[in-house]
Amino acid sequence: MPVGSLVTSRSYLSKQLTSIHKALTEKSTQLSTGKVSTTYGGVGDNRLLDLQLTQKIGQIDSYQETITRANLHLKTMNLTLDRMEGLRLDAKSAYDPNDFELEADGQTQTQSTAELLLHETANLLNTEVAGYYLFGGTDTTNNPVADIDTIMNGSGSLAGFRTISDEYVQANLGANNNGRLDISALTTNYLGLIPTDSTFTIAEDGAHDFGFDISSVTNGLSNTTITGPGGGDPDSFDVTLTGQPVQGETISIEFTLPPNHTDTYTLELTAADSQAGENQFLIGADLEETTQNLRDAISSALEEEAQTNLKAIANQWAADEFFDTYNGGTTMRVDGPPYDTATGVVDGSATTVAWYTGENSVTTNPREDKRAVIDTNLTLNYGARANEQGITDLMKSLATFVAADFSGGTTTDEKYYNTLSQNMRTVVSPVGESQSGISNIATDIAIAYRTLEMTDDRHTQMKSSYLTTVGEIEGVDNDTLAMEILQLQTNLETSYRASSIVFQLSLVNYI
Amino acid sequence: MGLTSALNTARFGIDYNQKQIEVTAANIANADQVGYTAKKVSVDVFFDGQGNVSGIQSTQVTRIIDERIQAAYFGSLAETNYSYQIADYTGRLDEIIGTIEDGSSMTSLATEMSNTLSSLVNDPSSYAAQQEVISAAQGFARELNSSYAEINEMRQQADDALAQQADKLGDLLQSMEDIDESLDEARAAGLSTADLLDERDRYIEQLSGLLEIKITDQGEGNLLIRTANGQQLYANGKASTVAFNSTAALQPGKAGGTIAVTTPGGTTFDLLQNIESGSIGALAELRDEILVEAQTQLDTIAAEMSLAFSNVTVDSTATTVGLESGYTLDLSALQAGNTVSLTYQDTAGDTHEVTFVAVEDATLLPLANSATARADDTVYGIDISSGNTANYVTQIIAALGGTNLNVSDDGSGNLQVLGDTGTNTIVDSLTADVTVSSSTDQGLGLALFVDKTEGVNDFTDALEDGGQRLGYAWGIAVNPALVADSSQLVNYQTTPSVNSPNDPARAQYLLNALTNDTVAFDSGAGIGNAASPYQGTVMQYINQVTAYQGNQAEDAETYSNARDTVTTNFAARYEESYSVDVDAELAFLIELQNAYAASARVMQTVNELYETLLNSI
Repeated sequence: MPVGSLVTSRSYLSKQLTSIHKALTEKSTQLSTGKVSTTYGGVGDNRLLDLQLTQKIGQIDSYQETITRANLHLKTMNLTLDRMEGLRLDAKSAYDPNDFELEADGQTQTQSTAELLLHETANLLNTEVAGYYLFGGTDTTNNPVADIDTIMNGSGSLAGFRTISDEYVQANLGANNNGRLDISALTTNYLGLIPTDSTFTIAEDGAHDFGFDISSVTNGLSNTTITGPGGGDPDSFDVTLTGQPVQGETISIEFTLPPNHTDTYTLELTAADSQAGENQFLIGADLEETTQNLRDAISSALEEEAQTNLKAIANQWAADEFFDTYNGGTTMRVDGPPYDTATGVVDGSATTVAWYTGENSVTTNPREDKRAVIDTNLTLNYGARANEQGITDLMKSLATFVAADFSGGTTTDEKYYNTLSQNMRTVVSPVGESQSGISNIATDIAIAYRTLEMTDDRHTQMKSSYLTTVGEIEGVDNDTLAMEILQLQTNLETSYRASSIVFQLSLVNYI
Repeated sequence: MGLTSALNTARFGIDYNQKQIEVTAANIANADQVGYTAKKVSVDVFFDGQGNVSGIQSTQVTRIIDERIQAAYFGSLAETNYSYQIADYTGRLDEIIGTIEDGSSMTSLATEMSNTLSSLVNDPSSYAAQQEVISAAQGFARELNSSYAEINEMRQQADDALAQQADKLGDLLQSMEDIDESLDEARAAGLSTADLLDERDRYIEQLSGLLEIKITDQGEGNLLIRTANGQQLYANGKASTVAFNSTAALQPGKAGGTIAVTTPGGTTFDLLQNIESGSIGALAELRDEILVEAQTQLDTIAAEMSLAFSNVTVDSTATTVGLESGYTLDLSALQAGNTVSLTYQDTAGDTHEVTFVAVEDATLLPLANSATARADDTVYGIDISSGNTANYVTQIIAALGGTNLNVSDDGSGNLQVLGDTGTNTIVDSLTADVTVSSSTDQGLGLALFVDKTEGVNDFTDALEDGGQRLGYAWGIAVNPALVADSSQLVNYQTTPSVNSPNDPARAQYLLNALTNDTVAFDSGAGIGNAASPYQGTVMQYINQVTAYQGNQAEDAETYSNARDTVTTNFAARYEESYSVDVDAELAFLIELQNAYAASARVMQTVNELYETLLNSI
């Protein structure tokens, strides 16, 4: 800072001219930039507001970029989930217990439909939008769902769903195909040639959760003694006839059903004196023959129940194990081989195909797997995992239905078909729930979409009002400015003229 | 009265006219010279007994000057130069920090950081999104670095200018001494002193611009010049000497060199301590206060931005022992500068906030409550140099000894603070705020920025060596480990399992840290005050700083303009009072010409009368 530039009195006149000139230059700059100043120092007392609004505008720009991307994701998710809900309804119609029509390839027509639906579902779940897999949680690099062939039939050393299902069927039906029960031959005592009593025993083949579990026996037969069941595991009971029952009398045996053994199956047999129909046994010539008839009737009823209802239950059990992997759940497989005498399950995660390969860590809310920050305090969550319950149920029921084998075309197969379709209907349309799991997800997404659109609109409006305010703070009014410039110009010219006249008016020029 | 007398009178008239013409000619010739005062010649006329002029003495050339206006003008100069200097520098500061629509301004870059982070939340695994965050962070760090360096450069310029002005001050005082000598000589020789006085006024005018001075006339032309608060600069025709050494390297937060003035009597005083105005006062204030404050603001931004990302809260576990319940806290992650916060209610139901600040250097203890920016807390320092948490707990037990709290070591070196049912003392919360030392498994925080002032160090806001944040804006840089591996922005966990590469949790945490988490900012940077520090997000604070600098620049500019107007008015009045009016001088010249002609005519007439007289004889 050189001292030479000190203001000296002599230059005051020209200094005033310079200051007008400077003001004129400043105004011209304002006119060309449209801004009152180039720095915040010059915008006046609203500079903090100006800064904050400018920052907001910058943020809104970025929020809107995010919104553009999220919008695309959400739109696609909406469409996909809509279609998936449609698939669920289609699946529900396909599980028609009254439509057992076998085709040449051994599948029922409804199975063929289900298979198509299964493929479409898997395809929808693998939807990708510009590198983002909609149903893979946070995993966005791979298809979250394996292909249907791998899921059903396995891959290399890893077992597929059909294998798992088969193992569960074997384990539940047992070697006797009667739900893991042993029904002994008769033990008859005679007085001479006349049988005095005849006994057979029905016993569980071991301590496990598979197959039928003997619960209780209600005896209404005359001359019949039931010993047991004792309530232990394995449980058993003896049926001893010491004389002939009377026609119309009944005996009912209650079994509990796997896997939880809360549901029951009650076998009730009625004594008949001629032609024995369903759930009847024939009173024979003597008590030994009657006992034999009773035993056989029990045995065949159990076998039929095992191959229809119990098999359907085993299929569903296997499906639950295979498909319910949400929040890191593992697939438990029957401990075997041999499977028909298995007594437990083992962790099958290393030996089984994982149908869902997306993000599967424990979460309380899978929506949080994908976030979009669309406002200062508004983060939209719209992640989804293909193994969430609603979607899993659809996949599970379709796969179970497709994997089932009804190709024999027998009455048993038809009954099995009826039971399985009924059960699968319940899976995709659980009793007591007004809205499907898929609809729940779709609702979440629809709400997110709505929020997104409203936020976008709000941003557009806010941005425009912010821009107006910033314009008012930073900007200049061109009309006023033009007037000011004009005035300054006039002042400056007048001053030049006046100065010139003043300097001219010297006696020097007149003497 | 005889002819001789008339001739004499005419001769004296011509003599006097000559003198006047000389002075008038000099006035006209110097009319445009700055500081030249109009001169006039005065005359003493001597008469004989008959009333005839017997002689004149016309050596007395005097200045025409209004000393009241002169004093007001000189007095106004100091403040004008001060305000001009301040406005010049603060205007430059404003340009550095607050240029509108400048993509590389701090506010734009901070917005850019928040924008890239919000994009990252939406797409965490994207390499491009990660790189965007890093590049925005680098831009921000570099902007801080360069702004800090520019401001330091301005401090250096102020220092250099101070050096020049100190020289100038010394030279001016010396010149005063010289001219006073000449004045004495002129007076002794009976010569005119007007021109010398003009010269001396010019020196005083320049002095007045450098600093605010008080001038006292000690009589016989001797001046006493002192600073505004009475320190002697010039007395009895003797100048004080001025010495200033430029500061080689201006240290962050430290004042630069001073100007030492030594009076002829040998007393030395620090000039900068004794002046508040003038261009020297302005430069000193800029160098040691205004620019330092701007740097502190940058340091605060750098520090709080850094801490917002790198610090995580360590939660305590609720604990109940017998009747007493409270919390147990793991202290093992504490680093120097990290804090432990305790909130409790005493018997009277009043809430108390206690903050423990970790230090490595025990000599800093005990800490004042001002060690944290918060106004509502009581601060205790704990020495963590032992690295042994049990030792920290012992210190905390001692610090809380006066309360009814049951403070103890839980047996594993963890801090356990329990209430006291007897006195109804309740522990509300106990947390620690620690800087992460690794990129994973320490929560969602990430050391996005590191301190590169000396090597690469984590920024923990340590209080050692004057505080780590002092000069941090100069040393802040994006963590090189992060630059090498941008996936650190996403991967925050390796045990028990590696988090998904698409997990938005960390990105969200970092975004919140920048835009939503409010902290109290150190009032030492000029924003807010100690009793109610500014609280807000880092982003808001950056806006505050920009606005503060803008406001400062505008105020300085307004003040400078106002001062300028005042001084210009004084200058105009002053100039009118002393300047040469060429018209008047010329008119006067014609008058003189006529007078001269008249005197000459008298002489001619006398001559003719003599001739007539001689011829008639």
